[in-house]
Amino acid sequence: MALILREVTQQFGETPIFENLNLEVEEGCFCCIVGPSGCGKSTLLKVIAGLYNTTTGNVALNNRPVSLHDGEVGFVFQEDALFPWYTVEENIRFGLRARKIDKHKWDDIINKNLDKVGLAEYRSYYPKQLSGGMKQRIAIARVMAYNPKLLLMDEPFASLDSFNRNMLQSELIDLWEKEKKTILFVTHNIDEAVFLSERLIIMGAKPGRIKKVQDINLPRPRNRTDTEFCRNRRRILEMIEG
Amino acid sequence: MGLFNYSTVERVNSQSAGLGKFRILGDKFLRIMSVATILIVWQLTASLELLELPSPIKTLRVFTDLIISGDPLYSRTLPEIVWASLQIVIKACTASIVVAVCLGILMGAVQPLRKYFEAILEMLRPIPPLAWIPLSYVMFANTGSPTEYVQIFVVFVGAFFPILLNTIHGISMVNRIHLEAAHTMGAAPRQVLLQVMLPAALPSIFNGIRVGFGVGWMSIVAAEFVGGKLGIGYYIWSSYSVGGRTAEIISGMVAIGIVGSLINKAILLTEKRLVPWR
Repeated sequence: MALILREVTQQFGETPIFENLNLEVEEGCFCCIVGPSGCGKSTLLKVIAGLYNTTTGNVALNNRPVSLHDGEVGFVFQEDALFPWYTVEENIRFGLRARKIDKHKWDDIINKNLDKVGLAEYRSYYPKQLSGGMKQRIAIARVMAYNPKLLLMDEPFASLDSFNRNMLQSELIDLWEKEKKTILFVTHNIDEAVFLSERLIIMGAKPGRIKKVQDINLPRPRNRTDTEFCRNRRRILEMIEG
Repeated sequence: MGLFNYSTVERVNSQSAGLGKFRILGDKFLRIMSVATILIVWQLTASLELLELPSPIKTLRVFTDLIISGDPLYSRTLPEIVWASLQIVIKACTASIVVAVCLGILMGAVQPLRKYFEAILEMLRPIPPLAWIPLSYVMFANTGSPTEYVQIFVVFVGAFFPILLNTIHGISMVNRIHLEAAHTMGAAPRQVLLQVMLPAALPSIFNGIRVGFGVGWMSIVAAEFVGGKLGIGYYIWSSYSVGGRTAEIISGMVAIGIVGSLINKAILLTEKRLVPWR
């Protein structure tokens, strides 16, 4: 087991977002979390990342409690979280410095990770000079650069147009198949969830809870217009609404 | 299609027909007009003797004389006089920037520090910089040159608050998502402060510096009215005391205006170079 949550409760002030949540995610699994807005799926990701100090319960990665400083977690945000005052290259360097990675390796790592997302020639660009899709590619490269075991992605493609989104989904699957990282991917888009995930975590709201965990056993590469694909979509939709 | 496009353009133009005639006047032309208006009103006031004013022409002659050959009473040219004041402002504002930016970052980033300093600063802030002049003459009486210390201190106080408040504002406006991104990457507080908060606050800090320099430049003129020996404020005031030197006074005022706007431009230019991502 790579990631284990035991009796995890998160509340802000008096209002609990979710209580006594249990979850196990195997190493190398591509897991999508879907659910209605307000069910706390984004909060769950931030809890796993260790961003809140008011969390109770246990979050363990490879039998060790998760902390912000061990370099095991990479977080990709929905909006553009790149630092606008840094170029693409400097943005990636920020993570490498934070993770205390040997300076001599920086150049090599930056080149390799920009190659992975196909944006090697943009290393000296500022974020404002890039399109939405490019920015999210760089955001992915920025966390991949320090090689975390677990990738947490909070609706990373939600603000992209559907063409760009489909392209980034395929690229992400390629990356995942090559690097076999554990990925937790929050989305409200069922199509995206069925296309990406091996396992789907369906959350319910009020109170936030895990309603069902569902495996998606479609072969890859997946085809969105496939009857089997559509059947899965319908089933998931029924589970969320039902 | 071409015809259709043309007609839409036409319609947009005709909608603002009333203003359209003025729109053809270029920006440059309007700027010249605005200067010309002031000169005409000034000329009329002077020649009709509505107010005790020298004519624009006479003033311009005095102004150029002051720049080129200087004032015989003080044996100094106008740029030399302005430079004396400017030096004080630069020294004082530099000190002010260093102190106010450091304090502002700390106050913006650390809540308890903010609460601690806020009580004192909120009481000091409403005191005009010039109100510090008498007290500072007493405080700096035993230094070698009290006047210089007083002037530096007064300008320092004037520039301090705009820079401080803008720095605090800039730090507290840092995008949450950038802080979270830095934290999830495992950045230590020092890296967050220097590589996230500081650059995010830089545009706001520069705003503060511009306002601060402006207030500082006003403060030096006023401080020199009270005492001094060579600055532009002193020059204007003593020209008045001598009497009959209205053109010299106006020339001094024009110099203050020109230098003030040049300072503003210089800071904007520096900002453009230091904040290239905007």
